[in-house]
Amino acid sequence: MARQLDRRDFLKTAAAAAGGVVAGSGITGFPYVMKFRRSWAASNTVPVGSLLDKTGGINIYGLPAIAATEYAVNEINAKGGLLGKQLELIQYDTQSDIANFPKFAKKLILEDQVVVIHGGITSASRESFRPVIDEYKQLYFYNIIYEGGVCDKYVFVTGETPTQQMGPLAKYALRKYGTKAYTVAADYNFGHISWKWWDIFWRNGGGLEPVAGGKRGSHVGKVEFIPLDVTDFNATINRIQEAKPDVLMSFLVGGAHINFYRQFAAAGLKNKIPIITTTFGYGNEHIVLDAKEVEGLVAAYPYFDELDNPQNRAFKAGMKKKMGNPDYYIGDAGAESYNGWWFWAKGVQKAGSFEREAVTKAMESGIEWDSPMGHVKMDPASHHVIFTVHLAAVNDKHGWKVLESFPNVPPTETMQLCDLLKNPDQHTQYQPK
Amino acid sequence: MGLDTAAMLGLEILNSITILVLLALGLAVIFGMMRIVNLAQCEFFTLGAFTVLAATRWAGLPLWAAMCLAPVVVGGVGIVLERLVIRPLYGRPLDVMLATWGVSLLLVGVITVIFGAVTQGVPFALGSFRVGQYQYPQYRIVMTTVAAAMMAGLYALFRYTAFGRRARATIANPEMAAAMGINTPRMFMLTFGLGAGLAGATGAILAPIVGVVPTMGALYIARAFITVVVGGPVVLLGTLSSASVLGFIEALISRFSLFTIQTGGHCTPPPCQISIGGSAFFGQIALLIFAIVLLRLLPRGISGFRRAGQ
Repeated sequence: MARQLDRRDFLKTAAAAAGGVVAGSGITGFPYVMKFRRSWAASNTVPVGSLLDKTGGINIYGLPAIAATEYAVNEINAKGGLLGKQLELIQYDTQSDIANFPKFAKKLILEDQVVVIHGGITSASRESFRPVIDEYKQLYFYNIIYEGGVCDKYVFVTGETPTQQMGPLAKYALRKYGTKAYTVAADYNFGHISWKWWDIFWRNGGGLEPVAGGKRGSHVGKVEFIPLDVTDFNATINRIQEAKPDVLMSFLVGGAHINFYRQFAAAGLKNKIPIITTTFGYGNEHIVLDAKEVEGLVAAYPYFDELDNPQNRAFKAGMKKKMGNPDYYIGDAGAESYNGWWFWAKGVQKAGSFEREAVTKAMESGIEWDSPMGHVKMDPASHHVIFTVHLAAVNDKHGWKVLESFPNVPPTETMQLCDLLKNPDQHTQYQPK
Repeated sequence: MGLDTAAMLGLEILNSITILVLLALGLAVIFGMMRIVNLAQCEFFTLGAFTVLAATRWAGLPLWAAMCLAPVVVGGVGIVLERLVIRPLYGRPLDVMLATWGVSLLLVGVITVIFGAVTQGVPFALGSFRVGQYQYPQYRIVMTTVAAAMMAGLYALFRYTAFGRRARATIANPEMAAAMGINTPRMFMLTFGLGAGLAGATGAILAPIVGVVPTMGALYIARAFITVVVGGPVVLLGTLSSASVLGFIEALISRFSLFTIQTGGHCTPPPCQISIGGSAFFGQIALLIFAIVLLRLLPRGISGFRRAGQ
């Protein structure tokens, strides 16, 4: 559905924009500048934008997010649209190439005049176009698990942050496996910042502050940062064997890194060194790999297809029908994109407007609802979501078995640093000191 | 360093060399011998891997049979490609590059349409063995054996068979070879098919250890070209020696930290330092730097002191 702007479109847009100015001045009595942007004001559709990687190494996350995005927009439209308008979804394939994000973000804002942008996958891609978002004061939703700390008046985040995953994972691993951890991480801002947080959580026994009474973790070997295009992990795997950790923490990302788990299992280590992770399964890696290669690997997410609640039953049935595949696995990436769109839709409904300031104000009233992942609540001050987190292990049927659930986990590390109500003029990302 | 650690280092070096040899073999024939800059070479890897995927998943063939099928299929594709695209363009290297680049995009597109742009996997067949405190996958040893066998087979083919002699004659001097009664267009076609088939075999061998995705070839093509270029004009010997040197460097730097740089400020966890070496990232950098230095010192490649065509 990529849309190119040709001359005819341009003329139409220009004419419509001019019409908008006239209509606007007719109603309000003065042509105010916002009206000029809104060429859709007189139309019965409203453009909304999505930037996700449909192709390339990051598409293991992009494809489920795109499927859920289309599903959510269709669902909103089927329920009558928003404020009497149908959503017109404009998607660009960012091709796992960072350079495409600022380019297409500008296109969505200036040419397509979308009222909201959802998307961005890797933190590198998000940070590449967040300056564009800030420059044009564009409402933006980032619906992906990430390293936390984004504090931006124009940005809402529906994915999970370090506290929501690393807290539960650290406590579980310390209890079950032992105190010595080895860490492998993707070599870009996500991996590096995640490692800093993980060091804090692991050495504190699962909290931002030292957890009283519990065990404390320590590191063996050095953290290893691995570029996204590395496919051969022979040396890394041998270094892990040499360090003899009780548990391996993985922040690996993307299609090439899937090979790590396969090569790790092929070296016969799967039953010797347990793996915990904040990323495995997010791209449905457990579907690609053989069950016996990754069975028992433990991850923490707010959503697994295996969750049982009425909203999730409907979501799963609908997605399976849309994809024409009775075995389709949605995964956390899909569920978070779906939630992102619905959070926005509820914000628009509450605001009675598509304008950024009105929607932001409505979102900051603390929108909460029952989603497929259970009850979710937008934290007004940090623009992040509070939800129930589940620890689960890969089972023998390309699925997950939920081990433990932690209700209403807040994104504490970001909430501690970020208060957009008190100090609204922030457009930054906080990192651990 | 214990005996087992030393043995593992040896295995890692062997593995690096094996992968470079596998990547370079097909290209050594097509680029090294025939001097065709074939930008669709990386898609031959991809095609080989997808042949394995399709044969195991749809035709239900066992993994080993599928791997044997891959070079045949990809060799066939190579022959068709030579006939339709490359033959009219011999002697026009820039046009060949452009045309094969187009073919590369087309092949990626076709594979994506058929299989989807998703990463898929070919399940692993073998276990691992123990070296002291370490475990190592058996499949890596199989890879090395196959690479050695392919190398020896290729040498025997060009050295001892009538086909090999004709092919070498055709490449050294096409007019003279034609005057001697060799069907030179046919030799070009078969040699190109051979190079494609070898690349297809490489893709098939790599399939069980990497993610199979339509764009996978791009991850390998740089290393394949570097190995062949550094190898120089004597195709097999050059490729083997450059793969050995570069693989050795890559494995060594991937394994060991050379030195650390102290940095200022406050770090979690302390101390503040950047370690140079000791990761796959520095392994790749070392390979590239070493290739540049080698080409500066030996502009015609490692085997540059020998005359071409030997």
